[in-house]
Amino acid sequence: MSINGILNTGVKGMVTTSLATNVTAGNISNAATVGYTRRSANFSPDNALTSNGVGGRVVEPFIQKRLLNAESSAGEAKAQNAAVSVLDEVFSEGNGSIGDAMDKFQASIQNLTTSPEDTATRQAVLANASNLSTAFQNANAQINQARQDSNLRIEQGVNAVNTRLDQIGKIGVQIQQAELSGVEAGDLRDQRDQLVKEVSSYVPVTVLDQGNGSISLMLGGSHQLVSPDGQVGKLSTKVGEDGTMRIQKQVAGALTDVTAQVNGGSIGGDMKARTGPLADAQKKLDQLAFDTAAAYNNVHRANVAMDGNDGRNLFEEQATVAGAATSFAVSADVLGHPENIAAATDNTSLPSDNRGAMALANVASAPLAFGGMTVSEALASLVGFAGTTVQAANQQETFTAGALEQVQALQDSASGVNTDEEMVNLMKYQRAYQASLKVISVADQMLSDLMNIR
Amino acid sequence: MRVSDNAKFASVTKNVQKAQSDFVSAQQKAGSGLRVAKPSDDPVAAAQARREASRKALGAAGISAADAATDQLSGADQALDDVYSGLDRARELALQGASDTMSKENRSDLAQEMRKIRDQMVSLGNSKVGDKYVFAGYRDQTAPFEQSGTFVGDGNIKEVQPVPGMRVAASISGASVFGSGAPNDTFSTLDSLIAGLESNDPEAIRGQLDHLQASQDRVVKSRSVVGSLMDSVELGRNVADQQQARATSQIASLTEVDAVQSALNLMQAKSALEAAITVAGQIPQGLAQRG
Repeated sequence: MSINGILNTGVKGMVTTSLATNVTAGNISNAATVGYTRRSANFSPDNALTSNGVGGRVVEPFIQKRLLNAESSAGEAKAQNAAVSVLDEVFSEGNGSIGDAMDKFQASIQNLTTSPEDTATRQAVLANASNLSTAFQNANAQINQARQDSNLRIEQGVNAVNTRLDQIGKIGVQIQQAELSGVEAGDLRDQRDQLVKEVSSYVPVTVLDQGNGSISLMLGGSHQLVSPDGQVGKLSTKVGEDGTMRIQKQVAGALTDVTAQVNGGSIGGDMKARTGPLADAQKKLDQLAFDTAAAYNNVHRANVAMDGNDGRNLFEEQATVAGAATSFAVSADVLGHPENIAAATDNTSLPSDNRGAMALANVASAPLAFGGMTVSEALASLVGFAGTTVQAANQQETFTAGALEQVQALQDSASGVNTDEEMVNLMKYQRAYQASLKVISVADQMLSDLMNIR
Repeated sequence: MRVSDNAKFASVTKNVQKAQSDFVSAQQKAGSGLRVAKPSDDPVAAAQARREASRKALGAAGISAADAATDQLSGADQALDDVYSGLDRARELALQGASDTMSKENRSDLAQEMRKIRDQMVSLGNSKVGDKYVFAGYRDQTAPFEQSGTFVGDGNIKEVQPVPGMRVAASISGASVFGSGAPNDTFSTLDSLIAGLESNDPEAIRGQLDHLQASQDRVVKSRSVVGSLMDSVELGRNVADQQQARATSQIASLTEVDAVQSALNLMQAKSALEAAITVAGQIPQGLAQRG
């Protein structure tokens, strides 16, 4: 080996260490960048640093996969919790709640047994019956609002996913081109990973690595959303024939229903909340409204009003259980006519015959037609249902958020930047650089010594 | 485990946030005194509390129904007391009038007082509590006794329902207090006495003494009936009262916080938050910061 060779090696060492310093500098300045994976300067004998001075990304593919799953689960739980939390508000105690309105209505019926002849008492019954109907309607409207909010979030989610799918497709092509021409595309890969992670918080996706820098992004493992060559299958929503919301995928004009595959992520969470707990709560509310109206009407129709006539309804008669909470209303038979409230059983014992009123009061403690529960018990079980649903959603959100944090921590541990580590590397490279300089200086001295031989 | 800068700060942020949310929730509980403010706080307790709330409301309504019935019955009892005294006086007058030593003028004076007593009986028969005639049955908005003494009220016994399903009789009919139909009813008896006094006929007066006794017996019996009705209404009121009290205490134990426990929890949450904040300030300087 010649002395020139020593010089070359020294120069190579200087170049290598400055490249490595560059890697460290990149890591330090990106310490707080979201989605950044740290690069490591991979030294190899002779041909130091494989890539062109940007270092290799430190990633754990296995953790990446777990991270996507965790994102989907956390997104789903969070959306579901947000959607069902309305039930907590609807069924909380307090003025205007169904429970409060029901209690007051029943108390006003009880008061009617004391003073059936008193117009003010009758008006109080009407007012409380009307408050009860308002409470039913409000509760249903609140749940409807929550379902509409879910729809809105689904729409927004679909838009957000589509934007990201586009970007993922484009970036994929860029990565392929860059890497084919030997350019390091770590930043692009970071961006793509971050976008995929964001998509997975909306819908469950899996990544199939094609090996040449391209990926194919699959929805729920079976429907391709982004193809390796950057083709994107856009998502859209539509209202199905049965009135439910469907998600479909569009590739080259062809629409495929992928609702079944959207079973996670925030979109999946909102879909499940709409068709699951929120719809269930509405059904139960409808059933309660229907049964309540029917139970009071049955007794009321048999009773006799101030004019001695029977056969009047207290609440509007409802044809179907579905929608009963919304159509729950004071019957036109008695609306504005307190004297038509039937509190008597015998038209010769007017006006203070309270036997009909007592029968009405007994409705509160009599089992309803279905299920064997009383009005109060049915309402209490609805409160319990609401509480359990919200509590479970709360717990699920906490749990999945914790799981996500854990996986995130694992990923950070593998791919995150630690500035202390980088500082040590910096010192190391600085020393190595100095050493290389020394090598050059020694080689130079050797050459000079050689020249000076006489 | 390798710890990245992001992870270091993320865990601190998470800990402070959790401590903060725990503290706020402890603060809310201590401040509101409510352990269960919404169903999800404790679904089972919330459902039970709802049932108890409805029992409590029904209990309260039952208590007021029973109280109203008791008012009516006390009114009836008071009226019966007055009826009895009135009839006692009528008896004295009748005995005086039946005496052979009494002059015609004196009998005429007695007749005047007797007439007053009769009027008093009619108005006692039409006694009201609030706007209700107590002896009128369900037709309690109109006077049950005409001036003639004819009963035009309703013969039914009113009932009260202190607790759903528990009906208690809570009235007495004017017909059973004063009797119905001449010559046995109180008014006919008094009419006959007045007639006897006015026509100066001691024999006719003596003939009414048994009827008068029967009237008084009816009043005594009615009073004992009213007394036992008041007892059973009171019993019903107690049931409603107990139901309300039990429901109230149930709701409290289901939904309210233990004051000591909640103060303790608040203290714990506060120190946990302070600790988390202190830890946040304890992130050591890195090599970069040492220069």
